[in-house]
Parts: sequence; structure tokens; C-alpha cells
Amino acid sequence: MEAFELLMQGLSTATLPSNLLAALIGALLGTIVGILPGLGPSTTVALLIPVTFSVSPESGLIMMTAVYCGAMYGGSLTSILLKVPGEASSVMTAIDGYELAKKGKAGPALAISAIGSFIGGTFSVILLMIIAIPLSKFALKFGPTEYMAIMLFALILSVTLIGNSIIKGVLSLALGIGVAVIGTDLQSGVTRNTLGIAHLTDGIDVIVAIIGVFGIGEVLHFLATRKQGQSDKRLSITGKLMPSKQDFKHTAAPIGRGSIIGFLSGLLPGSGSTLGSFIAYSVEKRFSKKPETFGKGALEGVASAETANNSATGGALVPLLTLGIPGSGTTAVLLGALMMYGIQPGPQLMTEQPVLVWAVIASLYISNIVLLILNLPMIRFFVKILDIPTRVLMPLILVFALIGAFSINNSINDIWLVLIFGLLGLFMRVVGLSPAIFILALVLGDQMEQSLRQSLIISKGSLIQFVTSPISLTLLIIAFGLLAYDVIKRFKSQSTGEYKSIE
Amino acid sequence: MMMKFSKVLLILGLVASLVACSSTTSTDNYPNKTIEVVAAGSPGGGLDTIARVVDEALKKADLQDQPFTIKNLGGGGGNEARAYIEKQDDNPYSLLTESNRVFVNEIVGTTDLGIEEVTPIARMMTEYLVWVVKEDSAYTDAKQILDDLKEDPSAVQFGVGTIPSNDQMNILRPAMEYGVDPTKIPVVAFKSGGDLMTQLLGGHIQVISTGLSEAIQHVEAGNARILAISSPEQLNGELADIPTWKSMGIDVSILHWRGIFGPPNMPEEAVKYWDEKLGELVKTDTWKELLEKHGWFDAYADSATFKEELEEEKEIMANLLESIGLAE
Repeated sequence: MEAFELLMQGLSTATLPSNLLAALIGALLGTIVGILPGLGPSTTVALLIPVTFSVSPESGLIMMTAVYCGAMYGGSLTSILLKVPGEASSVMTAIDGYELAKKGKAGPALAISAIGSFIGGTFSVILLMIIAIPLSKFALKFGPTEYMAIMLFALILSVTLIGNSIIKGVLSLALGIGVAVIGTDLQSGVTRNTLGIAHLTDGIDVIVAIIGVFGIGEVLHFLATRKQGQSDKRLSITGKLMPSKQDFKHTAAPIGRGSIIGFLSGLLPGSGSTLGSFIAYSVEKRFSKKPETFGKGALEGVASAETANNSATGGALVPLLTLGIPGSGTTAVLLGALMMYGIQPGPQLMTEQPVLVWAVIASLYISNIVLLILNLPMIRFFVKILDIPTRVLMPLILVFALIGAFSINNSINDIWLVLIFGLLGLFMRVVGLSPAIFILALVLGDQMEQSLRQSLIISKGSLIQFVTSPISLTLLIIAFGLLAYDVIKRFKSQSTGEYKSIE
Repeated sequence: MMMKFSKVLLILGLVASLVACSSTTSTDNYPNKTIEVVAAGSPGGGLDTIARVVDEALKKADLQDQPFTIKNLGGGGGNEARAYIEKQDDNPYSLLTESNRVFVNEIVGTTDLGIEEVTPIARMMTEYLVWVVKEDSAYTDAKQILDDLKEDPSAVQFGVGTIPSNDQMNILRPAMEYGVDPTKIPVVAFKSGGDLMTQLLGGHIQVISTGLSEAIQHVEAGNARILAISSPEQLNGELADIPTWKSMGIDVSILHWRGIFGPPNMPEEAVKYWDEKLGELVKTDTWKELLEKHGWFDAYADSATFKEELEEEKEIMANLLESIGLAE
């Protein structure tokens, strides 16, 4: 197998001492920067581009992939320990991860997330190696119609995230879509719902909304509901730091499914890793024998979401390496970096620069190993964050959140915005709306609207393409089938009185 | 008492000398400190790259020793960077890299800041826009598409990155010149160049209008074909056989440029300084190599020419955007 030989060659390049050092430094830097909310993988890679210029192209690119993987892992750290996701793809990790941390199980949550990331990453690199070329054709099959269908599919699948109250779920969804339509409309170039504020011309950065609703919202909620003496309370660690045999047994299947779902979602240009983590989590909740534990500290939830968003990394490299098309924000940055080295990425990248390409793929693999080795023993130090008394920790989160918001565009206006979203987050917690559904709707709402309109312009207003496209038809049949199933199940359980309150 | 008085005098003297210093720094020995260049986009993007490349080139060509510090202010579609530069008033140590958004944003009404609120310093380079079809497309010539549009303006669908943009102008202007009603042509926006190319290669859209550098690799790979380019003259080398609009008898050329601007009341001496330095820079081999490396084309215009052409461009754009209902 030619790809295998090339990978071996890549591995030997990537394991040169200087390149290993580059991977190590990159992974460390990435993890540290990734811990800061707002500095997600794309920003981190962009920030570190100048650093990588002082080394050879191979070492530079290897460092960048390591930074990327490190930042992904750093993001999961803050999600689990502080409930502050660094970007949309780690929102689902925060939900159950933080609940686990509150129960004193931060150690196993972090370990499972590191292991899941490693397995997901490895799996996607292997698939990338074997079937990159045929898969690239699959990515091309997704036009606006198919995109619209898959977004709808994801949205319907995530109905499972809604708790017992349908109304509150729908409200959270509507709120997210409401925020998504602020800014310049892509199809007409007209600004909408900006209240004449120039800063909103580009719309609201998803990361600003995430930091606000999660990070600041959590702090405000704590302040609003705290009781005497609670300020000195800390989240203590109970039990072991490492997952038990039982934990491994429960998370094996979610990690397996997460790997596949993540990889497939990563293939699609756009927000593949976010889509992947949401779909993987929703699927797990459906497969689970105890769906009620999801959202209240299910290790399976953390495992599936973290595995999927890392597996998406390899998926996103498929269109980049085979077609020269960046599949995600971060691969776009990688593409930019390649160009700065004078390497023209494109359909011929793999044939013209095989050594470099396979060195990057190999380094992705090595970064995953380095991270696992680096982070498993470090969990004992990371969880020390939880030893900080809340009266110190909460202001710290606030400061990090504000820095993160500012660093996106170096704009003071984003600080105001993030505070407004913080208030919204507080409001959502008080009345029981779902911040996760809100973010999902914000991410998908924008793309759904655009895909639908793109599809309609091309079809001159007809809707028939949603049924004549086999991909779209399949997705829609599954989605509506699930919806019907849910509705029937809900009515049944309602009549038998299984659910206490359905609003 | 005397002591105190002399102290006061001393302080006053010091203050006076400081004031004297600061009032002379702006013009004498310009530039004698680090220059801040505001890129109205994120690191790695086009406006950031041009700032870094000019800095690199000036250093390599030994033309000036005050380094640039690059400040990325990408918010509000460039409007945030504009507001920042306007506040700098006459400070020649703050420059801005921008594209034609410098007037487009005012036309579509997202800001009140127009070309009056900056001082044009130089147009540094340009890219050109092309019409691209998939390899197996029935079209072999841009005129066939225009003829089809003449019969039915909605016969062919076009893909672009954003709206309003030069990508879009590269569809509307030739069509209008050819006698097609530009308001009826279906133009679909696909956020990024990557998405756009996927849509074309996947056969979801018939023609796209995009930058030459985005398309060229796919042409070389044999997956796509270029039918027309927006350059005023035919290009050199391998690209020489791409027809320009002008070669088809359509009087349209579009520069997709990036330039350097100063704050609104930049002192004339400082503008003159850059005219000299940048004028010299663009003649060096260092600059030519950098242009080639990034796939850019020379389109240098000094401050006076740049200002003049900005006015002309703004008018063409304003009229077109008004006719399709995008201008206020």
C-alpha cells in the first residue's frame, strides 16, 4: 500500500528529534493558550504562525498541527473544569463534564476526554490515510440542498437535548436563531437587525455568545444565587483520578460511534466539528439505557462529544489535502500558513509535496500521542484549579472571559457584547432555558437560512430538489421518522403518566 | 520662595521643551519611531498579509528602518478599523490597510466614514477576478454565457464569495455592458472561497466569479477552466491565453486591489515621504519577487493617482449598487 509507505516516511520525518521537539512545544503552547476562553484552535494557530517561521517548513507545520490539537484539548479542560467552552465544538463537553466535576469526578472526565480525543484523532488519521481520495468525492456531493437537509437533520436530532419542557426548548431555539440573523445578510449584502450599531455589521461572533452565555452567565448565576459562606466552598475531588474499569466499559461504544460520526461531519466544509459533537452527543443520548443521566453528569456524553470533535480534525483535512479546499476555520489557517511557505496547496498538493503532506499527517498522529502522554499525568495538576475557593475562581473566570472576548478582534465592543450575553445567560439559567440549544441554534440557524436561500435561488424558487436529491431525501426521511417516533413516545408516556410535567 | 520660583521655572522649561519635541516629531525626521499599521482583518487574512509583506519588503530593500507593528482590528466589516484611524486625526504613525470597502461600506450604509475620512497613500497591488466553470461545462467562451443571459437573464446562475463585492461586480458590469439587465441575474453568495470552489466542482453552481489565485490550482489540476479575466490587459506567460473583457469588446476592467491609507489629516510631508519610499520599493526586485510569491500583480498608484481613481471607482460602484437596490 503506497499510502502506508508514505506514512512511514512521514513518521520518520516527524520523529526527527527537532520535529518531535516542535510537536512537544506546540502541544504545550496549544494547551496553555487553548485554556483561555475565546482563544480557540483557529485563533491560537493564527497567533502562533509568526513563531513557526523561525524553524524549517516541516517543523513549522508540525508545530502548527500540534498547536491545533493542543488547543482542542485545552478547550476541553476549561469546559469540564469551569464550564467555559472555548468554542462551539466543545459546548457539548461542558454540559456533562462540568456536572461530573461538581460531583468530584473531574479526574475521570478529563481522562476520558483525553483518551476519547486520542482514539478519535487516531481513527480519523487512519481513515484519512486509507480512503481520503474516494471520500473527497463524497464531500463534493453536498450542495446547498444537502446542507440544508443535514442541518435540519442535526436540529431535529438534537430535540433530544430538550428536557421535559418542549416550550422552553423551542424558546431556546428561537432565541438562538434570533441572534443568528443579526448582521449582514450574505445573499443580499443588506445589514439586518443591527439597530444601526456599526459593530454588529459582521454579526455576532459565536465565540462571544458562548463565552457570555456559559462563562459569564455561570459567574453571574453564582453571584445571584449564592448563600452565606458559600464563597469559600470549593469543588472537591472524590474518588479516583483515573476512570474505573466500569467507566471504560460504558464509554467504549460512545467513543467508537463518536469517531465515525466526527469523521463524517468533519468532511463537510463549514462547522463540521460542532455538528459532529452535537450529533454524536444526541445519538448517545438516544442509544443510552439511561438517557435521563445525560446533562446531569454522564461520562458517555463527554466521551462521545470529545471523540467526535477530534475525529472531525482528520475529516476536515480530507477536502484540504485532496481538493485544496479548507474544510474548517483551522484548516483555512493551515492553508494560509502553507502559502506563506511558498507551498501552493491545491489538488496536486498530495502528489507534488508528498513528503510534507505525510509529515503533517504523521505529526497529527504524533501530536495526539504527545498530548495523551503529556496530559494524563497532568490531570492531577489541572484538577487543582477546582481547589481554588470560588470567591477567587469566579473573578478569575470573569477576567479570562473578558480577555478572551477582547482578543477575538481586539475590540472593546466585544467586551460589552459578552457582558450582555452574560446577562442573557443568567436569564436563561433563572427561567430554565437551555444554553446549549441556544448555541446550537445560533451556529446552525445562520447556515440553515443561507443554505435554504442558496438552494432556492438555484432552483428558482422550487422545493422539489429536497426530494430529488438522494442525500437530502435520506436525511429528511430519517429526521422526520425520528421526530414522529419522539412525538408518539411522548404522547404515550404522557398518557401513562411517566413524565411528571410536560408544559 | 526664590527656590520655589526657580523650581517652577525649571519645570515650565522642561514642559516647554517636551511640548516642542512632540510638536516636531510628527514632521521632522519622519518617521523616527515605530509605525502602527492597522489591518482591518484577522491575522493571515489579505489585509494582514499586505501589511506584513510591505514591512518585510521595506526591511529587505533597506528603504527604512522603523518597523511596523501590526494591529488587527477586524470587527464590523472593517468599520471598527475605520473609526480608529479617523480618531488618529493627523498622527502619521498610524496607517491602515484596506480594500475597496473603504468606500463600499459608506455606499451600502454600514458607516458614515467614507474616503474623505482617510488619506489615500498608495495602492500597492491587485488581484484579478475570473469566471470559472467546471471542466465538463458546455461553455467554452464567456460570450456564450452572456448571449444566453441576453435571451433570459436568469438562464445561468453565478456563485460569488460575498455581496457586495468585486466578485459580484465582475458579473454585473460585463453583463450590463453587454446589454443584460443586471438586476435579474441570479447571484448566490457562498461565504468563503473554499465553499465556492466546492460548489463549482460538485456541480451545484454553473459559473463562479472569484480571484485568479483561488482558481488557478484547480485549473492546473484539470478540474476547472477559466473563461474570462478582469485585468485591463492580457497577462503574461502561461496565463496569456485567458481572454480579458476588453479583448471581447466589453469595456470593463476591475482591479481587486489593496492599499495603504493614513488618518484623515495626515501631514503632507508624511504623505510625500511614503510616495518616495513606496515608489522606490515597487521598483525593486525584492518587491517583484514578493508579488510573484503571493500571486499578486503590480498596480502601484501614488497618493495623488490613487485618490483620483478611488473617486472614479466609487462612482461606478455607487451607481451599480443603486441600480440593484443595495445602496441607500
